Amino acid sequence: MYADVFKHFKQHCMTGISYMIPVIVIMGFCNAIARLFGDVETVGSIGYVFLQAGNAGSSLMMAVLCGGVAYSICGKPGIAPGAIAGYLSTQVNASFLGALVAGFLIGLMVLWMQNSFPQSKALKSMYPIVIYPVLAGIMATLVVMFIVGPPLAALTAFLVDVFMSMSGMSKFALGFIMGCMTGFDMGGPVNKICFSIVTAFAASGVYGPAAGKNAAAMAPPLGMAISALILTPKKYTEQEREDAKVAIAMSLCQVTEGALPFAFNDPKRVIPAVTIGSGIAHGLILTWGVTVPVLHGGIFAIPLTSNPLLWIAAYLIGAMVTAVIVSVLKPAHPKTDEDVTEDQELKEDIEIEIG
Amino acid sequence: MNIIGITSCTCGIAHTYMAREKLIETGKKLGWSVKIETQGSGGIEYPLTAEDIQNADCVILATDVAVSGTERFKGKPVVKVPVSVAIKSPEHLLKQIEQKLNK
Repeated sequence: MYADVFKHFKQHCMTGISYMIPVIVIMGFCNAIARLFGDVETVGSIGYVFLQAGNAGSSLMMAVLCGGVAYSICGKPGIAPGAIAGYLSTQVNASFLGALVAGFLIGLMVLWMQNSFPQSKALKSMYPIVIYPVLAGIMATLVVMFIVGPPLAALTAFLVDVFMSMSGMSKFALGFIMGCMTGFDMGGPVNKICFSIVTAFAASGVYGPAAGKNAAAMAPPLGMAISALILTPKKYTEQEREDAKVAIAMSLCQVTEGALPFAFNDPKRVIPAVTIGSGIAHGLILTWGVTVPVLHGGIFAIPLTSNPLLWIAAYLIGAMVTAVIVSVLKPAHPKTDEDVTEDQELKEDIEIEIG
Repeated sequence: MNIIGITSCTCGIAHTYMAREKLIETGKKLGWSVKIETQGSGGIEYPLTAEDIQNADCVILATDVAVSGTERFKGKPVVKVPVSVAIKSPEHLLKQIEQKLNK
């Protein structure tokens, strides 16, 4: 059973990340609102109030991540200790990695307690309210503060140092790789791995990758829309041209998934185009040194960027690169519906278990 | 065949619903009854009823993240696959399930 936890390692991470994303979105928007109103120093002003909300988001996102990972492994008893351990992890700068380790630890520990503690009626009501959360919470606290915290904080600091001392060319290369990951599956698992890396940087106060990721995440739907509506509309079906209009709005709100309908219809051409466009957008941002203190926010985050014009330039260049590549690659006429949806062979054998 | 299932992806806004549509579409093609609950970012939609579960021959969990309410499927045959399998190979998936169940 414990081996199962590691077999489903990715699923547990993804659950935590999917719970964390709305926190990051709230944080991004609140920070943007605060910045728009300005006057963030005056206690009680609108700007001040929303800045507080944004700060709350950044101190709680790892708590939600850690609680989500623990919940995915052991269910409800994992949430509370996970939230506390995740918060502590932020406090000691172990950030993302620390929260992940703590989440798994808590999940495993609760699973173990559920299986090996004596079943007695008297204790049964005590377990979920006192025993599971307190023991898991204490254990996770000690581990985060004394065992994983210090080395992870040092590792994070080391990675940040390496990044800061990189030259322009290697920064472009790093950004290109991260951007490719962001674009490659348009909001899927690979995209979320990059998201984690960017979050780790942001938690350490390095905001370049965040600016790059925002541009790389927004470029694909806009790129597809430019290709489908302006450059080569004849190469697309009517349905796709409709999708393209929606894709523009999705791009502005930083929903990479806007490019997905195109990718599903024609993965061989769309995915490379989107991957390269996103990679270039992210690479340019890192090379130019543009930063933004929020991890999500679409065009609403533009006022927060250190250099709005350069940021917009990178976003548009990324989208144009995607648009040009896909426009060139596309055949002159769109495929008809019949040969689009081909059912693929199963790669792995399925297993039926009795639930 | 009566198939029910849950779909849920990481973000919970796109793949979750595409997987649902693919499975239902394929079910129609094969003449099966397919009912799918989604657990996206907006919570549970198209919830399965006790009757759906009672009548089901098999449960498909096409999920990339943890889903709630799996205790409802106690005693039912359950197949777990990543969301991408339901999107890319719905027909192979359903046929394979039929084959295995008939064994």
